Amino acid sequence: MAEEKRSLTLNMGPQHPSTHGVLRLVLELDGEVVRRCEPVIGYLHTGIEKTAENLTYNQAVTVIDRMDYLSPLTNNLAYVLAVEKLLGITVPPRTRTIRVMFSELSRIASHLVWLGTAAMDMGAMSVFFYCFREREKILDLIEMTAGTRMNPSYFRVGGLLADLPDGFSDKLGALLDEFPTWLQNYRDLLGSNLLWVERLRGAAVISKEDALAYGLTGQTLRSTGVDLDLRKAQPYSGYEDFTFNVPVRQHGDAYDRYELRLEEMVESAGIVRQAIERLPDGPWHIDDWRIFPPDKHQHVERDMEALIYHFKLFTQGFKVPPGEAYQGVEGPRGEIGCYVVADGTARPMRVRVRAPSFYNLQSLPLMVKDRLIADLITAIGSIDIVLGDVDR
Amino acid sequence: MTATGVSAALLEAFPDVQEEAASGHSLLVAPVERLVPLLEALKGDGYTLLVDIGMIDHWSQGRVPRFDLVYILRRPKSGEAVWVKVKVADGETPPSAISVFRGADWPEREIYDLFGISFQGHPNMARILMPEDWEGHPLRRDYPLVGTKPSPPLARE
Repeated sequence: MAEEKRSLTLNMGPQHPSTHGVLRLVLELDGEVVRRCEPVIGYLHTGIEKTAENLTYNQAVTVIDRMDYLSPLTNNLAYVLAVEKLLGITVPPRTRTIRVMFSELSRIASHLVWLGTAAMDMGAMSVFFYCFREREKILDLIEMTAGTRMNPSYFRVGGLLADLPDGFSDKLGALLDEFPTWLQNYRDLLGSNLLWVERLRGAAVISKEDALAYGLTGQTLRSTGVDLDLRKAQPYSGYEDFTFNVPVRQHGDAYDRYELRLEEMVESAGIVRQAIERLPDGPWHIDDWRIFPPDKHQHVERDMEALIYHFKLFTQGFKVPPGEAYQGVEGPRGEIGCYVVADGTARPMRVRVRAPSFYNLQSLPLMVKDRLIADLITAIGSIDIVLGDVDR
Repeated sequence: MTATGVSAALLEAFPDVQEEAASGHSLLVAPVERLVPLLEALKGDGYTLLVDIGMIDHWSQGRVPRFDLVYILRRPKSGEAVWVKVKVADGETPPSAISVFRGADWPEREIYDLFGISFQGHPNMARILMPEDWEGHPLRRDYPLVGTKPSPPLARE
């Protein structure tokens, strides 16, 4: 008896645990094979770009934080550097180095979340607990410095929220000493696990040409043999002073991306160590009260003029001369860019954010076409999307 | 890093495209009808990575044409960037860049969704971030931040 062959349309998400947030996929299945996959996004759209247009330049830092919530400090960095370009100011060396150090710490923290959740998608529960335990130690350092774990808004236009607290370098040093054991744990848990290796190898493949045409950046691009890393290619915030490698792979599959992220963590830890070892003394913010508030105890409480500057800055903000600037930084997921247009007032006229997850997710249908549905789960994990970054 | 910029031969082939001064990248201002051939030529010149497509609304300055459409491309080897800027009037339909960069699909949909500028030749010009039945385009400068209309009742009586 001839049976009619029909495809099944399946809705996956937006609350599916392996979609890393609120991603919805409409799948057309032929048995277990995905014939068509259409991501439906926008569930987490909160209009951050619109909100930022209605805040002063310093207030906007706090909403920019909330896009890629796993690595808020790299979002901050892109935005702050773009505004500083418009103002034409350069920050002191100590500020630059601290910014680099925290960007790399948040890259490690973000990769740890990725590793834990991607392994959990494959059914490896325990990796998740190790990763989150160790990520918490990095978040402790961020909390110690900026006061909050998750959305610290630590980088400010012209400087930082505060200088490093007492005892910071000891705590960081202890963490860096531990770091190689963490990584060895993950490699022991996953690298020698046949299930993990077999499910990742050859899954979610994308070619070099497609990766470029789809605007992929970060590990997804570097897994295809393109060694574009903005920290090396177009250095910002003093990255040119640090020694580090940009690991590259050739196959463009999920296993390559896993290896790249592990190696990147090693490189990042190396950069953090270099930064703390040669952290320059000196001021940690620019000395211009029109842009950066005067110190409360040293000036505001003693000096009427400082009080006026302080008041004006927090009620009206500072004005930025008309112009436009774009700054792309290498975030944990790829190039995160901030395009700021100023019209001479104290509020940005336009803040456009180039979100790496938005572009990376766009290539998902291509990666999973005519593959098993199990490979789809691997693929979502391997491109490391954050839905807050996709939807903004 | 010394920026070598867009090749001179390419600029000669496009006499109606102006190169303007910019720091950190090359900036080309093109008329809208030359957009796709220009992107094609830049792709041939090594700018094979589509970084972003952005739009800026100059409504508050009362500028005509109202919008700036900006394409950012990169050379994957050196990371150097070129911007292609196109001025677009309200209601005008610029050509879609999908034929050159497949990745232009979603950003163009986003621009349609948030600014109300639709692209000619785009296969699926639908909203992407806002709900399908949303009225208006929120990133236009004349779209109010609050108080558009009361939220709809949760259930019909």
